[in-house]
Amino acid sequence: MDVGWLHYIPLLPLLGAAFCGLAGKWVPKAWVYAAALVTVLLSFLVGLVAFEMVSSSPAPTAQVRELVFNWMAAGKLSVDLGLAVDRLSGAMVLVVTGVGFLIHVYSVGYMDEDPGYWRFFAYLNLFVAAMLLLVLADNLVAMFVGWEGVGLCSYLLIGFWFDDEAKATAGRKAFIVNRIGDFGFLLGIFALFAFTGHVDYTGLRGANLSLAQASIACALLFVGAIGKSAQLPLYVWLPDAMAGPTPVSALIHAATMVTAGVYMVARLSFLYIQAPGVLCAIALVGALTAAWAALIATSQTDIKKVLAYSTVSQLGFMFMGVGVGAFFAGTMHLVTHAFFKACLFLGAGAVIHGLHGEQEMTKMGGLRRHMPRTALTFLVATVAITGLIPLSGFFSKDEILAQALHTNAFSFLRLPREDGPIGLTWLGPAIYLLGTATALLTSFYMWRCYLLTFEGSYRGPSAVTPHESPPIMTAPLQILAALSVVGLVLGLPEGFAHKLHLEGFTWEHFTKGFFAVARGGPPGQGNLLVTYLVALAVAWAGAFVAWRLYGPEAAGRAERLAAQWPRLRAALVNKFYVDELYDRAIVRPLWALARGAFTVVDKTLIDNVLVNGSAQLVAGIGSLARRFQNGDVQRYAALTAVGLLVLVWALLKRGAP
Amino acid sequence: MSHLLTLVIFLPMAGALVVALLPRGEGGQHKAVALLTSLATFALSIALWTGFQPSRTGYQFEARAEWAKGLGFSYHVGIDGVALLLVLLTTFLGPIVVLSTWTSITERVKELCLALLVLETAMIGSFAALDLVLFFAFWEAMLIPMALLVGVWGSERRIYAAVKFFLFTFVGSVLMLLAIFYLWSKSGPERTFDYVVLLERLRLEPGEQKWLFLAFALAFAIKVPLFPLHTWLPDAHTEAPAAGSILLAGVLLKMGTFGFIRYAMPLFPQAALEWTPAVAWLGVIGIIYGSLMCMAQTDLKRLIAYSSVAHLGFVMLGLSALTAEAVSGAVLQMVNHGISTGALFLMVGVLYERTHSRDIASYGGLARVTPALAAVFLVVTLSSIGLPGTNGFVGEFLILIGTFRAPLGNGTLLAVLGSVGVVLGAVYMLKLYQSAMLGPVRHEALRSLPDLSLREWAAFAPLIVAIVVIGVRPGPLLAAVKLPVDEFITRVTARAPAAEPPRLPRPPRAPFFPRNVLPPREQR
Amino acid sequence: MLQVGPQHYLILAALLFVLGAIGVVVRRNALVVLMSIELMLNAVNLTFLAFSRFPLAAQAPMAGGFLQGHAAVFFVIAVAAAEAAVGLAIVIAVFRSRASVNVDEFDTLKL
Repeated sequence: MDVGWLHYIPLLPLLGAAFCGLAGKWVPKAWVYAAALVTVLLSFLVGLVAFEMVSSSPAPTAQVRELVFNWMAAGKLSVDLGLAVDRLSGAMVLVVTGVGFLIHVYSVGYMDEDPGYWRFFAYLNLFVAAMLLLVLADNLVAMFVGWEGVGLCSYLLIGFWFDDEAKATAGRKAFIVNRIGDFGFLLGIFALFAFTGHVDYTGLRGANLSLAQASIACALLFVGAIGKSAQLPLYVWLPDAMAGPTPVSALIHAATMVTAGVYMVARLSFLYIQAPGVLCAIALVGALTAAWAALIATSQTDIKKVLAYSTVSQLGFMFMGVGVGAFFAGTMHLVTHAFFKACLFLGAGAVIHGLHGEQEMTKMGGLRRHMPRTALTFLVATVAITGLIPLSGFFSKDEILAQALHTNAFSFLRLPREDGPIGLTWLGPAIYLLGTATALLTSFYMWRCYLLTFEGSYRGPSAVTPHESPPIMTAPLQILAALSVVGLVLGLPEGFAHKLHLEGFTWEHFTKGFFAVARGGPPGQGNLLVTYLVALAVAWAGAFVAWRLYGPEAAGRAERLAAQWPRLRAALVNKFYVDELYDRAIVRPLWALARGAFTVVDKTLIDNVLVNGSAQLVAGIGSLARRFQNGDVQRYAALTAVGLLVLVWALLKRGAP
Repeated sequence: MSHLLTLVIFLPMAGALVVALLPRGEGGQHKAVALLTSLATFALSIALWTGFQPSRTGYQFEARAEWAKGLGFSYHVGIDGVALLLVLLTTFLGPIVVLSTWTSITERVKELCLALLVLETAMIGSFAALDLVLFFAFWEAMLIPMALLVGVWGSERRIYAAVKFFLFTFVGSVLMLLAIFYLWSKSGPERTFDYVVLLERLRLEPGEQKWLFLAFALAFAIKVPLFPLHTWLPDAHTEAPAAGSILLAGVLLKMGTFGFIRYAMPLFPQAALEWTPAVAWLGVIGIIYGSLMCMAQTDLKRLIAYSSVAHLGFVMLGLSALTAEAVSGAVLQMVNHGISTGALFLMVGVLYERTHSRDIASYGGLARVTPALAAVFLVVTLSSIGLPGTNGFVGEFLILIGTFRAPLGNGTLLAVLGSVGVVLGAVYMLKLYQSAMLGPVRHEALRSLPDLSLREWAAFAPLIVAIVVIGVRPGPLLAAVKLPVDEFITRVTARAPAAEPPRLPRPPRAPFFPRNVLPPREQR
Repeated sequence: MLQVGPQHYLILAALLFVLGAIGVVVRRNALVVLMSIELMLNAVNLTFLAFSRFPLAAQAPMAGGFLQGHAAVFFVIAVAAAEAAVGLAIVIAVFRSRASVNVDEFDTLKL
């Protein structure tokens, strides 16, 4: 169905950004806040209308479309700025604008005293606009515009306090690592265009791709997702991105931008199922990233870093979900994660705000008494993410793991070996095991984080008295915590939902028929109860260990345990030295290569030897020739005589007439 | 026959005459006349744009006048879509360049305005010329004012840079002149220098074509600049004043690429096909090498000069790919580079006027002191690295996607390597931006720098508007070049020439230099 | 008894010419250079006279015998005298400003 008002969804926040950025310095604060908040809210409402149209339509692939204008056309390529709302993008729009709006409200409180508040809201609105364009685009190039746009806003917002060199560098790192991913994304677009002549989803859907072609294109696009969604090996920008203000971390690096990679894979599900090898790789990358990041998170002492690595880990879960062909599970976790991770980050922000900038958990403790509302929301969100009680996070995470266990996406894949090909059906259960182990770690480090921050006694300096945040900051926290609870409806198993007449509200039901089915076929039927119980056990086990090590009666048990494996502890605390490795192996050699090439090739070889050298050559020949013109008439006479003799000889030799 | 094009070409020259007649010493008058003239030229060129019909083949606004009938050259001008865009770029940058000199150059103002206006005429003329001699005349005419700009109003090593620039580009042109004469001699019974006639009539052996193509290509490759003939550019840019740099990077470099697409490749298609892989590889090497050089720079202008090498590497890659997407992208990128690098050099000029230092280390933390300047710098930086939404993205994207599926041979590999350039571009530009603008204010002297003045805003505003508008709506520009691009590709890639006319027996050629000075023995 | 033929005169003239030429090129004194030029001119005279006295076959004589060579010699002597006069005048003018007749020192027309 074609409409003419979809473009308002990204346009309104863009106008808000323009207003805040260009006029924000001179207009009253209230106007800036109003412009920023109202535009996002209006965008949410328009998105709600479109979502309603799409979800009330019986066909799961129903779309509300708009062709805004033809952006560029040359040769066979024609790229439109086209927007399309279907069930997936509609839901994403609501998440982006909804959670975005809550974070905007929170930021009104958080950034109130910062002199650059107008810049902050301009960038935040610009980000929302770019993210909406990414989500709504109906072709890969328009999506790429949003893709890089959110990268730009990430750069601007991470380096928001640009007076600090380290923060500016963190922003630059984010942009560059994202660009490396974008390099792959661009190549993927080129490949798809070369193979099919289309860049829009409708055209790609109808195109015929061979296995090799699909695999190449999907792998390249996934490289882009690795960069944007901070998976191994391009995750290193996300922890550094915590240099930005906490609302930025909440919105961009938890709820929305980093999920763009998952969104892209889910959107192109019809393409990825044609490349089962790539799906396999996606699942592996996701699982490994989840485990890797979870390990690092267990030993971080900065509260934002813990949450950052937690995000990387949870993104790994999402990729696990889409990688095993369960696109609905991955996207469901995307939605629920947005709720509870945003709540966690905003809660951390409230803590930092209340402690006047302290971010180290070693200096926190016992804050439950000083900030009860924040503590409660943080507790709820922690329960949600760890799955201690079946809230939204429990169902979404477990769905992914269950799908991995029973997946058939790899059932027909074969690894060639000398003694006959081996099947990969064991890969699903292997991923399940790894994922469960990661869930254990998740529970452990999240409860560690909660206990260190809110329980026990206050370990900070006595000069700093922690205080609760104003209502404008705690209200979004409460709403997000409530959403984390209510969101459990999304993941309810079918039978249960049917009994409660909540069928229509489960994500699986909502997206049934929307995503493509993996080539191996739909997943096998397992006993859901078993996986639920395992998940619960794992969550409680992790919480128990955390309680033993960091709870009120821990009394140094954690330090004694850490002292037993000092090298492991050091590796974990130092994030496995990955940043140092990249610096030594890639960054420094590249700059040295640049400097070396400049000195050796450009300055010496080309300029000195060739260019200046040829000039010297000409000058040298000139100075030789100059010797004939020294003003000595006798020399001239001698040369004339010699020349005459030569002429006479030549004439005589050839025979004069 | 329309006289609009002739007017656009020679209006700056008329302005130069007025400047020449004004008495020396009153700097404001000369600059005012120069500004008015360049604004008027721009206004007239808008008329060119509105009167241009993208769907018509051939050259529009053609004008012709006999010059030397017996010798075969005439005053023949006309523009197609590609030339139109470049003429517009030139007239667009004209007023901006004059504005940039308003307070930064105070000596010999009259000569400066003369040089700028004559240069503008020469540049527009070279884009519009349809006669080889006329083209060569305008081409050479560009060298002197530019060399003067560098050599008189430049920095410490200006003489070296001016001489290097002049000699380097001149050497290439000399070979091209020889090639032009050869073409004249081969242009059929009625010898002519006219480009349109030559395109139809020329029938050259592949061996001949190779040398002619190389002669033309050398001249243009030096101008582009194509690796490894690029070393004149950093020196010229470093020592030139801001106005010189803007025009050099904005327009003069495009002469090289324009020469390829208008002269070198269509006139000698078989040779062009043979040599395009080499040109493409040199382009890609230029992209990566140029970006690496940028990373190693500590001088602000030199860094941006090397970034021009990288950007024009993209353009040459696109031209060599010979697909409609790539070539359209290359032409668009010519315009884009002019705007964004012109803006970068304007920014450098603005900074230099305040601190008189080109050393990056002498800046730092300026975003706190001059926020508007920092914001403009950011927009221009983003355009340079090809952020979607800015003009740079459209050009680079089209070039790379066109190269990827090119019948060029190693098209895919070239596109991959070119895309690496996209990443490297972000590396060095963001490092530059951070070193100059972000972080703590590194020197106390920087704290007192003023923010952008109204005049500077007036110079930047059109550039920023162009960056955004072309980024969002490149449609009209792409439509204008569609037909010339298609024709270009058809002409170069058509392997078998269309049915050749029957070859007439050649008359015996009278030797220019007789072999024997004396008659042979037997005749005595 | 030695039969003196044209070759003796020609070889003598050639030797004189070469001596004169070497003197022009090698000697440093401007006056000596002028003298060497005179020597060359006289060698040419001798050549003309030799061919006039021993004419090549099939050459038409003037009225009164073969005297073309002698006529040419008169021209040459006149030119030599004029040239010597002008040359000496130049040398004297240069001597007045430079106080030297050493040709090695007259080299200001150079690069």
